Amino acid sequence: MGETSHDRAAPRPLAGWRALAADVGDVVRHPLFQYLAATAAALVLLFARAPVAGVMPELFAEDGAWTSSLHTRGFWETVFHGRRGSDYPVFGNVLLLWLGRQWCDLVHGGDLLHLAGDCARVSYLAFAAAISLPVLLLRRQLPGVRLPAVWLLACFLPLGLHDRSPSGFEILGRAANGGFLCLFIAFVLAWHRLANVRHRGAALATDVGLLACAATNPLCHAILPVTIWPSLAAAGQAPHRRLWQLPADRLFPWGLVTAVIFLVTVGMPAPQAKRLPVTAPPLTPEAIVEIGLARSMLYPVAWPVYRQLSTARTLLLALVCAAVGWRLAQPRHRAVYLGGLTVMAIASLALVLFRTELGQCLGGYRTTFPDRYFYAQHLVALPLLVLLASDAQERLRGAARMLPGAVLVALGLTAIVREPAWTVPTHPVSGNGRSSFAARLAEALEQQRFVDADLRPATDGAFLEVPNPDGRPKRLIVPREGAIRSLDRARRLARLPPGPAPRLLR
Amino acid sequence: MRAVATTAPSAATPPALGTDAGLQRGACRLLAWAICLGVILATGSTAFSTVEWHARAAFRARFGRPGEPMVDVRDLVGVVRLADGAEVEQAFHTDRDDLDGLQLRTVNWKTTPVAADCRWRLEVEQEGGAPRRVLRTGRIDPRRAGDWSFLEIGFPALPDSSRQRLVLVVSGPADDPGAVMGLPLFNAAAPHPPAVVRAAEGPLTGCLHLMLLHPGAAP
Repeated sequence: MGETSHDRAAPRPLAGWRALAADVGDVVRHPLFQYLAATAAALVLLFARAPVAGVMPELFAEDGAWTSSLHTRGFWETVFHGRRGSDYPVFGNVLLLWLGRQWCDLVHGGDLLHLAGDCARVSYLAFAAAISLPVLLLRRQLPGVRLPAVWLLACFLPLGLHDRSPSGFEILGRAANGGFLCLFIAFVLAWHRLANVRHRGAALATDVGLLACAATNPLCHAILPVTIWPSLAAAGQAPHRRLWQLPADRLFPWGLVTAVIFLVTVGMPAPQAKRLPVTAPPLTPEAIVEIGLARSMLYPVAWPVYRQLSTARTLLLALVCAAVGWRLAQPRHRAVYLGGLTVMAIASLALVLFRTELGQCLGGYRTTFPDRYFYAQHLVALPLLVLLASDAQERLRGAARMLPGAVLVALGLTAIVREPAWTVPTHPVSGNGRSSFAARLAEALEQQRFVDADLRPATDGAFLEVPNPDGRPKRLIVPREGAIRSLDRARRLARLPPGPAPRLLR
Repeated sequence: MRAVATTAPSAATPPALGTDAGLQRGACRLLAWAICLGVILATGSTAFSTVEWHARAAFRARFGRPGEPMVDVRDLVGVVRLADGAEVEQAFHTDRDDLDGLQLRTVNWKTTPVAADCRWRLEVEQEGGAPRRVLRTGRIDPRRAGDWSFLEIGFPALPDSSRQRLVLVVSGPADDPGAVMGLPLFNAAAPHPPAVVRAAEGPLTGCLHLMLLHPGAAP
């Protein structure tokens, strides 16, 4: 029987679907897709863990100050002069706030009542993207179950969210404390740079990322010198050539060079003045052990029993960890362990030298506050922990092979149970009185608290000074027109709390 | 003479770009990416919105009864450490009956205060200069005091609170246990009687930051 044209065309749609299904399978296996999926999942998890920044329309601490500066002075002025004393740029933090502002303009038409929430969303996203970075960049270094293990442990990193002195709400959703995250990003980028990057374009992109980290967190400068290693190694392989004669794809350390220029022109930040109302006494040896060793370096493994630690126990635990690491770590991973521990040690040293008030804050293993100073070191520790567990598994025999994995699973499960994502921590800071942002905006307009770009009172000023809810000195400066439009919209939507309508809205 | 490859391209070889097959292949890949990214966006935004809805409900449950400010406050004047028998009195008035709680702004200097004997009492001023009458009393657990946050004090409702001039008295332990809670005093935005401070900090002229709670306050 002869084949008709209809018969010949029939299988085509099925073949098309099969091809599409195969392509979908390819996409699902693609590193970029897995990175985006991991970022989206981490975003939801992190938001569930500490949603206060996303649901309360208040800009927190420097988020408010830098947003004000963005409004009045613009992006680059805020980057270089945002910090008190203008001693060091805050590129990453200001970039997040600027993106939050753009998001607010794009999605909410510049409604200032959404500004804090939008900045928080961008900050959650940045945190999620950063902790998912190994999924994109360290696939070969963390094969198999190691990669999801690092990602999961990072998603449930203990942040003191349900502590009696909670401080996790200061980290998640806050651009102000995103600078610490740069230490982890720089560590991952440097690892990727040394282990995977073989082409000039990838090297350049990685170095730009490293430079951005260094322009946000000065501790990242300590990581940058490792980027010169591939060039040195290449020069060693071709000793007859000069450095400038090497092929262009020989991984010239662009980031390091620009960072040196940057450091020469900008300099390092000055140690900040103490922020506590009482003068912090010099650190005792016990406090140094607590800050530099227990809280900074051992916490990722010791956090479930942190309050039971003491100086002697900390030193003993450090010895045990060092012995376990020395005995079980595989020689092929030594460079990673050394690099990670060096990064953690540098951060710890900086805290001991320049944040002496932490001795009083931690108060002898009584509290974990302030978690923001330590979370970056703990993120760096996670891949090292997972690698060590996998190394130990290779070395151990019999039933003991299960032990390292069991320890990691126990740590992860304890974190999930102790800081559950399903219990919303409603830190009291979120209930700062009845004086809502909308009401304070209306009050500022009613009182005509207009200022010019130099923050001087001016009747025709283009900006509005919004009073702080608790009388603290940090002021929030917003565009006058934006405030009027936002309140007008709020009134239309009946979101404005009861009270006299601002005259200027009529 | 050069050897010439005679084998035909394998079936796995992708079609060349620019041909119909190549365009179809590219479009198919593009569609696959669009589908996968769409799935991420849809599930991600749905999950995020669900968490946000849940969080907003939790926050409403926790802070859904916003207090009415005794008076709006401005700049910080100072902080009274509740130790060594320190005592702070704040007179106030409410326009509404059934006052059944207060929210008191506290500080803890970023430490967890130790359990100490902190007390509060609510008194009413009598006519003719007679001694004040105690209406409600209770203890405060300083460990609950956050930093620059509000500590809630609940009590049975006062039916005629709008017709009374009330005074809140908060006192600390007789000794100094070290890590204690503090009460910040602020300049009031409108004329208001300042708090009376009996503490080592000396004379401080400012108001406590108090929120007055009534049943059925609008969320």
